[in-house]
Amino acid sequence: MFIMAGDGDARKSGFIRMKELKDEGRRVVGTYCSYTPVELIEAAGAVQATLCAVSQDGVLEGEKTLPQNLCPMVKASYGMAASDKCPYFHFSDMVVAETTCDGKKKMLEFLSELRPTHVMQLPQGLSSDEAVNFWTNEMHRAKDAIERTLGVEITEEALHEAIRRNNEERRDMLEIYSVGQLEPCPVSIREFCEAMDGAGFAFDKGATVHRMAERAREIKEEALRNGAILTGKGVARGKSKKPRILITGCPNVGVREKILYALEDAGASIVAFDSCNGVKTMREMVAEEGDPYRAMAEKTLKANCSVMSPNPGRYVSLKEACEEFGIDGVVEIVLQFCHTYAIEAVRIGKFVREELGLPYLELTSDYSDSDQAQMATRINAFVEMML
Amino acid sequence: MQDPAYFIVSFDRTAATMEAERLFKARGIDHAIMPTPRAVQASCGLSIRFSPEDLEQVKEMIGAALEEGIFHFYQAVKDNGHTSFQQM
Ligand code: SF4
Ligand code: SF4
Repeated sequence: MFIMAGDGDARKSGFIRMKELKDEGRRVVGTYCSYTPVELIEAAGAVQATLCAVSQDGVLEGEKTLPQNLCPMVKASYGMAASDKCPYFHFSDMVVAETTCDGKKKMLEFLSELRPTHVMQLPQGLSSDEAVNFWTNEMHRAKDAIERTLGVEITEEALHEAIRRNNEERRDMLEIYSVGQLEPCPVSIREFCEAMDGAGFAFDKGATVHRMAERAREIKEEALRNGAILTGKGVARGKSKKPRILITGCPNVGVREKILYALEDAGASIVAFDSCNGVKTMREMVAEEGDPYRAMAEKTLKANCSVMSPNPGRYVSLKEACEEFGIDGVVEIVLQFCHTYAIEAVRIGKFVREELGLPYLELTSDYSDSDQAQMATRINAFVEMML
Repeated sequence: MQDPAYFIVSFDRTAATMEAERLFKARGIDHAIMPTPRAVQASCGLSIRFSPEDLEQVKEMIGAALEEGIFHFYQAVKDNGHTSFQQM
């Protein structure tokens, strides 16, 4: 019922559209992370391609060069690029990436041998104004690098327009995510992921997302007419039909089947993401007034990623999301060898159990199938406890 | 007896796909770039589809231009509306 007629393999049809755009002479900039100022890429007239790889094939390719004890995201992203198996990377004229975690920043040194790679130096913490100043300066450096590498000019006007358009898209995304506030939630996680892929790899992304947001509004109205409740802070309601789960932690696309789909197969309902593919990166807008570079810096620094130390914003955003989406349990996904999320999980777990009074499950996994049975056992036990 | 619906050739590297596409164009052989089907693993994300009558010509063309082992031919077989791929 949700939202759009995707063909279920949007990432792959995205390859074809990307190739068509390349054939038309458009430039492509590959990115990996929520810290990337997508507005700069759009203002340069280039197409942004997300290069995060999510396959075990990619991991095995990556391990030919990189040490095995690295997060699967890092290994697969490098592996797919180096083996030339990822058309998005193949068509990328340049890469813009950040010094987030150690694995990624060291991997970028290898990546830069394959493509012009501009590395933005990310501050390690946000406790002083200096961090914003420094990151604002990195925005300027990124602008220069994109202009130089692509041979284009990024005008103030184009940048303002890109900021405005991306904010609009964020508001539409929030509308789409708000379907998860419905109890019971009418959209399954499979439908949701397919719809998101369809949007993520569409080239008229803004228009696609806008249509999806309109559809989301209709779904909400219809559900409310049929007796559903919209959860929110302080909204009183009975027991959920299915336990309502929030996903937090590392990027989760590579463990969809094993964890996300398994949670729903076990009888839960995933209604919110407080990870990089969720509400947390959409809530903050880039200020449309004032210095656009500082505005992009201030917005992106609010990603609440565990690479920041300390990372107090994550607790605030997690609490808000749990209230807003009427959450019954939190599942944290840690990709194997991701130190920052693994360490932060200790405190996040304590926070969720003690301060929010909710059950919490941490699952450490990778892109292989080897722990499928073990995951299923832990997931089933967790969901049963909440039934 | 099922009729082969069409053939695809997949490649281990995107650069090889692009080189093959150039050859198809140069020789004027009907073809379409398509996403590599899910069932065809371990290849790059793009494959080239062509018609059965061009099979011999395509095999010869690809075989002469690209190194052995980086391209793989599959036959698409349609059965009750479902397409499966058999490696050749
Ligand atoms: S989890 Fe952190 S490093 Fe990973 S994409 Fe998100 S912001 Fe970037
Ligand atoms: S999941 Fe963790 S280790 Fe992997 S790229 Fe993201 S921050 Fe780095």
